Amino acid sequence: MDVIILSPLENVIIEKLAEIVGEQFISTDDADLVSYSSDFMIDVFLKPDVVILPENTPQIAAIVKLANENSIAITPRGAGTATHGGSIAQGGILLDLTRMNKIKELDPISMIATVEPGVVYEDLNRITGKSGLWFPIEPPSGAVCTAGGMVGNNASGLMALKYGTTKDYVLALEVVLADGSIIKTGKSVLKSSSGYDLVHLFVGSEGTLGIITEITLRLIPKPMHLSTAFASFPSLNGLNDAMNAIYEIRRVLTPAGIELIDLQTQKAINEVEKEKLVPEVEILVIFEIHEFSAAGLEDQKDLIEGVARKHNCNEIHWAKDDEERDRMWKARKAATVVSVRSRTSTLLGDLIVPIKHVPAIIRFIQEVAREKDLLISIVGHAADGNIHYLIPFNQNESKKAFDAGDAIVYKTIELGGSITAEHGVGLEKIKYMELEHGESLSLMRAIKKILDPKGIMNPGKIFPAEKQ
Amino acid sequence: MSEVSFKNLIKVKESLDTCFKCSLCKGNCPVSEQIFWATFSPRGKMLILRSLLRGQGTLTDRVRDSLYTCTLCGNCDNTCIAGISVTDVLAAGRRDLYEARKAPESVNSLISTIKESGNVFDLTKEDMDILGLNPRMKFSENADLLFFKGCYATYHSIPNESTMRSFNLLKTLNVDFTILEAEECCGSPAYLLGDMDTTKRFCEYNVSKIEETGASRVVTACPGCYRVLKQVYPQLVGTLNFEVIHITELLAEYIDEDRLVFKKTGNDKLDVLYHDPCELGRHCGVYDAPRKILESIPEIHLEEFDKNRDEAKCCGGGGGLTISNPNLANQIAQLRLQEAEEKNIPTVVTACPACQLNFSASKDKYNMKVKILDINQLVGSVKGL
Ligand SMILES: Cc1cc2nc3c(=O)[nH]c(=O)nc-3n(C[C@H](O)[C@H](O)[C@H](O)COP(=O)(O)OP(=O)(O)OC[C@H]3O[C@@H](n4cnc5c(N)ncnc54)[C@H](O)[C@@H]3O)c2cc1C
Ligand code: SF4
Ligand code: SF4
Repeated sequence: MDVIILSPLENVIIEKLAEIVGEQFISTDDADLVSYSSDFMIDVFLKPDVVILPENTPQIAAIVKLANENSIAITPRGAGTATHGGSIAQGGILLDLTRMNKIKELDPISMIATVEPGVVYEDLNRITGKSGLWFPIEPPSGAVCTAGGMVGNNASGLMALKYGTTKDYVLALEVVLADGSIIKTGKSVLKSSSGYDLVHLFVGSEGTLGIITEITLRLIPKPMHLSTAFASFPSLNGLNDAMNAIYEIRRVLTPAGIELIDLQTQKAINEVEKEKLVPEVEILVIFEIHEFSAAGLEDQKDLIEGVARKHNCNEIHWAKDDEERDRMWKARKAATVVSVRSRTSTLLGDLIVPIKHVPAIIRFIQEVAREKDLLISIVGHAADGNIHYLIPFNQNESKKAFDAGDAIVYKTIELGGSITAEHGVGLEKIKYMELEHGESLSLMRAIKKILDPKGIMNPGKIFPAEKQ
Repeated sequence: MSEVSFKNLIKVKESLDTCFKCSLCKGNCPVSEQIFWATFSPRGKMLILRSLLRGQGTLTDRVRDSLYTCTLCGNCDNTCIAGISVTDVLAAGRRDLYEARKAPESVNSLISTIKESGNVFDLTKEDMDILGLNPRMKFSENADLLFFKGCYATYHSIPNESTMRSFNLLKTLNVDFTILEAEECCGSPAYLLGDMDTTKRFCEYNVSKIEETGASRVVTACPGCYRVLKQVYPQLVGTLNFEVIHITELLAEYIDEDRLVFKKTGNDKLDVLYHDPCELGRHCGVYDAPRKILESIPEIHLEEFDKNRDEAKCCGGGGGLTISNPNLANQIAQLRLQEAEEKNIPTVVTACPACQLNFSASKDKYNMKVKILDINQLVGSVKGL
């Protein structure tokens, strides 16, 4: 790959950028740069040179064209809830897309919505919900994260088991490419075998191939009957019991979600929330089921309960009402962060393995924790093999924390898994890309080179930036 | 930067260090709904303060704008999954800026007004007479119950009407109560804007005056006064010799004792939405008393906002926003009132003079039809006082 030299921003360019978006929507003030200097969890703080809030696609095209002509880095950002530094920028332009938050079209007959990238996930569902429709990803960050960021990361969430991930809903995109040209790819149709699938090349590209300015999404009917249960697996062999129950259940039905929380995380949730939100047992499993009829829901409950009990679940408690359901999910959503309050930094893992290897990878993580004398919390979307582990550490423990993270990733690859299931590569996981992708990483690089020859699009993410 | 000591921020360093930067606190932030810049979101504010405390940031005017563009509504505290009190951090940041004379001019000017006149509206007792805002009734001298009037609730004609109605109601119920002849501002605005010295000055003055009356209970209709008297005064002068309650708690008590009974009048039912004031609800936990009152009025049909109780959206009038950015305060109110219009509910009832004023200003500005009532106004009119 050619050498990329990204230039610092000169005042004259800032003036031209201001002409494009208006003085009110551009800033080089330190307070603004700091506000965009980090994202979720990662202990890295990088300041862009300038932050811009564009209003529409033509403005973005003009900004990108100017950036390309002057070899200036440009990093798109939605809500900045990415977990691995994907949405932060060392210098260059940071493009905050939250101002572009319109739902351009909602077609309840075709069950399709076309939105701008800054639309917030829950806002979109509030509107589509009025027509009984749903974009069913449900990331725990849904109250703030944006459609553009979800596409950028190929986000998924608590219901991926039944409903899949963002990529399963993206039908078409409008993208501003690195030279400032605007392309539309895909159609508002449910199927197409017409040529290469460029739409899905951009999904999960973390802003490295272009700025997504319009997204057409497939929607599905929202089920009317929902229920959530806490299932306790108390024995020391709780992990095996829980996973055996999950394997058996999965062969006969697909619950919306199945989440697993280890004992350490359960304790942390109760401690921080100052109330006993979750039972404290070896392994706690959350079952979420969705149905279109009350009778269907009851059938699912009976089946799950029967199988769980067969595998030594001593208590399964179904939420009595929506309020209790909300409390249960509040506990699960809190799990990601409460377990790391005691330390200054955290390494957050997002691995995925074939589901038959879930017990093996969890056991491996527990072994690493013991060996390195670290507290590692485990929460996961157990039934699709996606496990999050959190390694909180103080500065004097950073080497062993990162060594532990490396060991877990190597094991994941050995088991045939992937280093990131939903959070993206960002800055933190670049070092494992070669290991996971081998030769095909060169092909990815070649694609990047075609679309972004000067390497201005979110440089330093996914691939290491190549320097002189 | 060295001109600011950050002595208050240091006290909340742990919260700043604990923040995971998830930004979930933005989800219900009324300011972030109106301003797209991350700088004005709760996480943005936390990042700015953290960088200043670590010596990595520059104290520009934008920092001041960010900190004072906030209603201190506490929705961020309520949403934070790490259990951080963001508003404690923001209050500490404001104190450091204020003490270093880096607060916005509008803030300094309001605090000077309060210090000089003892109230937020800069009115003298004579002005109040001319405006007809002083209560026209006799109060007993040694009553056990003292009504702390509050300047927001009495020095402006709109909330004044509600407060006078609650005086009348108490009289009708034969409640023996008194007031302070020379009451001064409770200090809440100074507290919210970052001036702890002035807050303390008002606290010491009012506590000594209340104690002189020998009252064992102090009731107030203003949630700002209520919170400061109940939560802040004890921090400043130690345990108080009197109990502090909100008027809605007192009326709910009377309902429980069958002392206050609303009779059926045969009038049509009025649909109302109850808006939880942040200072009364999220900050002091009073959610049930106002609802009990509304539910016990036969002509009232109580509905809820989508976001209610501890999740209730702010009216926009808190945290001094009406001073630092009145337009934004009105826009926030408009969004809240729009829900009433969309739900086709003609009346929004609140229990706070600041909410009532900001809602009323917004309603006028945006030509909205919805009617704004304070709960005391409503109760007073139901009883036909
Ligand atoms: C508490 C918590 C829990 C989470 N749980 C989950 C989870 O279960 N599953 C999950 O998938 N994620 C999870 N996340 C991560 C994150 O919230 C999601 O990936 C989310 O979709 C990111 O959206 P965002 O708007 O914040 O994007 P950002 O963080 O702003 O951006 C994400 C990436 O997309 C790029 N990007 C943003 N907008 C555009 C655009 N318009 N064009 C091109 N590229 C763009 C950015 O450059 C960046 O690389 C969680 C986050 C938090 C805080
Ligand atoms: S206190 Fe309210 S307005 Fe201020 S940052 Fe928190 S949520 Fe936003
Ligand atoms: S919700 Fe809490 S942890 Fe997350 S950014 Fe806000 S203050 Fe920080």
